[in-house]
Amino acid sequence: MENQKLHIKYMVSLRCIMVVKEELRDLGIKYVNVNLGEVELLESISKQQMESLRTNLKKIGLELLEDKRNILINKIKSEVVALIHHSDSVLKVNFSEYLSNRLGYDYTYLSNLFSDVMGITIQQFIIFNKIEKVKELLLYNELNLTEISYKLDYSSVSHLSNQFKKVTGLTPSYFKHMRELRQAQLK
Amino acid sequence: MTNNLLKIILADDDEADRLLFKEAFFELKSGITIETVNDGMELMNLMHSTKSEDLPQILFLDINMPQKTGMDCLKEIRADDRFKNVSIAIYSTSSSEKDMEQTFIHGANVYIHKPNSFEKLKRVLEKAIINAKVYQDPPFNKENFLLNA
Repeated sequence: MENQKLHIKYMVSLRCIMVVKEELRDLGIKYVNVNLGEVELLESISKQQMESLRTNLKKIGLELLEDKRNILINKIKSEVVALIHHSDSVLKVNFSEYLSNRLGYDYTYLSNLFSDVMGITIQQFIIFNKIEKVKELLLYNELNLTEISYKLDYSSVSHLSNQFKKVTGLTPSYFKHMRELRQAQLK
Repeated sequence: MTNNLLKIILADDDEADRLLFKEAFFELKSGITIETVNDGMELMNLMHSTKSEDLPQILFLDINMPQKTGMDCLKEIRADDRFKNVSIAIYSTSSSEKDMEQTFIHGANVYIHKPNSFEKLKRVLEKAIINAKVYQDPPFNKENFLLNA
């Protein structure tokens, strides 16, 4: 396996390298190499070590960047969330094309990276988001199921209902009923 | 993004079931720490003595336990604001819709009808865990987390 790399912002001089090396030694973090902006670690470090390092570097004006893979995964998540939850138009999108255009990576790469780290595929994550949006719209009481299925680009109401049932184990109307009963109970 | 340690507590008075559960989790994936308690009293003691930041993301609760039942625990936990981020999965031998309804109404997130095979058990636990993970982050709203696994 490739050694883990940390990326550090504002690291511009040889002096910075010396200081970073010192911080790593103080925290007992073993490294292979320290270059400008980048540290190659010998072994993976604990979350706590990571946080201490972040704090200590900050004190001397340096910033530990998040793992590149995590940054990319968070971007994938926010693109999906923005499309499904924060847009008012009908959801007519080819997600794989959209994501690969927006983020500038091949979709297969994005998709493998996502499932490796998240344990679910991008496709599953999209479905989870759509079902969550369906739940929200159901509870608003403004649109009926047919309108909701149109808005979220399902081919039919029955397609939506089947997917809802598959993901939640419940029918949309049963879900709505339970949420209303629960609301009444907790009041 | 916090990567991806999930903490689980399992409350069940039946030792065989506890072992089966742990075995199933063990075969599923790493990155899960699981703690077990033998009954409802023990569970509530553990919950109350756990610091807020160390609370589990998901709690698996057997419905039939002596003294304090799963339903009692559910109500007590849902009455305490400190536990509002803990997802609760109820499992029961009953497949009656009415029993499921009662747990949902009192704030359970997942209803599991105890499966009769180990493979099925693994599948429903995996489903519950994936859902619990997804519901950790916005825009997912825990109030809308209802799953019949």
